[in-house]
Amino acid sequence: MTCFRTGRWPFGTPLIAWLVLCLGAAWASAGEAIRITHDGQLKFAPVFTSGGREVVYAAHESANLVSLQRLPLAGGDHERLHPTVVAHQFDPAFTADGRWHCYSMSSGSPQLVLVIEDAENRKSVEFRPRDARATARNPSFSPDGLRIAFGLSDAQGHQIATVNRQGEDLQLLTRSAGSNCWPAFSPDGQQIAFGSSREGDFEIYVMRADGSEPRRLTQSPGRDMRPAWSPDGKRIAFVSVRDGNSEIYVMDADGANPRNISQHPDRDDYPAWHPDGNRLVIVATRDGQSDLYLVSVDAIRD
Amino acid sequence: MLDIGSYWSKTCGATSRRSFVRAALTAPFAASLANSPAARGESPNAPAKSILVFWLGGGPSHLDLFDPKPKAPAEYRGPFSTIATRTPGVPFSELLPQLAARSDRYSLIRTNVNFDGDHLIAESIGLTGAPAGSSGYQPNFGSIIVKHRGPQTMPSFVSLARGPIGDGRGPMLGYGGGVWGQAYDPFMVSCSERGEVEIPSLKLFEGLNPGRLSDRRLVLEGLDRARREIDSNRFVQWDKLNDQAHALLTSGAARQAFDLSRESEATRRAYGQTSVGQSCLLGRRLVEAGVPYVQVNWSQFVEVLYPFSDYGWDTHADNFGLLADWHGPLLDQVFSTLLDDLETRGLLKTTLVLCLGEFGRTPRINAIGSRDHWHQCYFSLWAGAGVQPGRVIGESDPRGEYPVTKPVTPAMVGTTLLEQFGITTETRAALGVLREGRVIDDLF
Repeated sequence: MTCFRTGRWPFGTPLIAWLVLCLGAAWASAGEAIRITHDGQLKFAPVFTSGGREVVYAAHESANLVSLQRLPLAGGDHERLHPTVVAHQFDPAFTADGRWHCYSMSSGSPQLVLVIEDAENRKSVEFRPRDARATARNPSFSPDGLRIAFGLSDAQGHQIATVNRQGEDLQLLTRSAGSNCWPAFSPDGQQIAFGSSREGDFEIYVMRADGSEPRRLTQSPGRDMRPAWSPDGKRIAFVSVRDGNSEIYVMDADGANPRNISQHPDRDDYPAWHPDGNRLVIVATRDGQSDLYLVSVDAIRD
Repeated sequence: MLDIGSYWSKTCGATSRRSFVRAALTAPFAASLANSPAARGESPNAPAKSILVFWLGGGPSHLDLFDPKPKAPAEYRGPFSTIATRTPGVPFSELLPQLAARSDRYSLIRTNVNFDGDHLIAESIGLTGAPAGSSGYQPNFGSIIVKHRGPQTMPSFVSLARGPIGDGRGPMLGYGGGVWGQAYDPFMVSCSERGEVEIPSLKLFEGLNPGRLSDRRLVLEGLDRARREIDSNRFVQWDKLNDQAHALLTSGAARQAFDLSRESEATRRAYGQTSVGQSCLLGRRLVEAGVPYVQVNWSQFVEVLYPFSDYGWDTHADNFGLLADWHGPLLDQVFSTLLDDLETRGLLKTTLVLCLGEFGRTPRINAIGSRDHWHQCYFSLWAGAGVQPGRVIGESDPRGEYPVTKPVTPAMVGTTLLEQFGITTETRAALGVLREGRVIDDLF
């Protein structure tokens, strides 16, 4: 069983920070988890950036503002990714080189639009769904950074779609019943894992990147959701409530050998892989507080 | 509005930050001698000393929470599985594991109905028991208690929200006194995710903290300054209001009730570092301090579709994603903690707890994969003060569209609240409210 440490993540001088990072990596490698935020605010959808040196996540900064925060793992406090926030921002995604990033943003209609930003040229474009109340959520960049897959709730129902970096060339990859959500490109760009309720409750599926040949990977009571490919493409982390509450699971890429790696009676959610493939960052609720934790998956390797 | 004072209070993170206490100089807060329930015309054996309403404004989806329909066609049932509860044969949505584990502590009604599908109208009906008449809405259930009890040191009706209750089109008119006027409006209080309390109806002056509120000179200085402002606004009832404000602000019980830093860190953490969580904790403190009617509003606490507005559970788009990410887990945590806390402190015996919204959401999933307004059938949760826990009252049809058993109207909701508080049929008749209401007998 994984025991979550609840001690503070010490910040300080660069030397101390370096030691902390090393110790944190050692703890995580030992099959335990370390807490890397301590403010307790509601958090969502963390992702690693900058080669694994930072985590970007969405947080309820205040009661009526959700913003993207960036947290350097080597020390220092979190700060807004975008200093000026005029609307809720969440569901961040980054290209491997960090030049492009994308997120969902609330809009007046009310809609949730996709914002695609080019950090190098300081430009951003929006993909705005057609229906006045449609939403675009949970974006994922293809490994080459050219396309963005996301969950589109629009006139065709709730489907997986892609657009290019200009927010154009919309292509629907699914046309099924139920809700199709949380797309995640495989590291080689050939496949997309996603969640779908097309056959009842939410299960994890995989399809080719053009939307063909969908295959179901999980068969469990309760929802399986938020798939995330490991950097080597051999495993998929996901969230499952099959054991009665929200836990982090890791399975082989073909759906075999699902293993619960969080094993805690409180909520564990939103797994994202570190580029080293040995750790996940997750959002866990402990004693009523929502914080980010690093969880080792090394211990469950064969 | 009157500038009374401000104070500093500790926050969840043990840091100090300015919090504001503003005392409304209106009739509900006038100091007076205590009077007995019998003298007020209340039934002395009434089980509820307080009522706490957790108002889920915006319309929470009944099918995705407390009335799942796993055998309904796919275009109705939604993507969530069901989980067993402590009540045999009664499943809930998988989004609510903590509340499922506590289903033996409260009762569930699955046949609430309203009479309009518009938020502002349905909320007003839901909180007053009737559609608007020619002269406006009837008073809120809490306002009835305000009028019935008369002037008190502590406010009789506190509404916890971040700003006026309403939506982008305007305020919800049934929030307060209605046809009785603003004198019976709630005492509005805002609570941040760190537990900082702000009372917008009153203004403040610098340097007055809880410890100094008993300093009559300081209070009077503040009142005097406020008087000048009020005079400029042609407000003339100064002497009377002066006494009322001073009575409220120098009451130790009042000061302490609004100060969440007096709670243990563990308790504050258990409610979660969200405004709605801390507001529920504040609601419990107010109940403990003797406030008879507290309404905690979901207002502006969980809002991602509409920035800086107040639609709450109005998930026309991405209903399933938002419920899985935000609304479901938060409701599960906060309401479970509230029930635990009330029970642990022995308050559940004398506190009637009600959790509901103005309506549910369309059982049939809309064209964009979400759910719209549905007032023909929805849910409410009841606990404490004589409510028999673990019951499921009423049954909806196989698609969750309409009740197949007796519907429960907003008037029945209000009548039940007031009756349990001891405001009897005769008293209601004398006050001219809820004349046709009936108690929901199945709860008791």
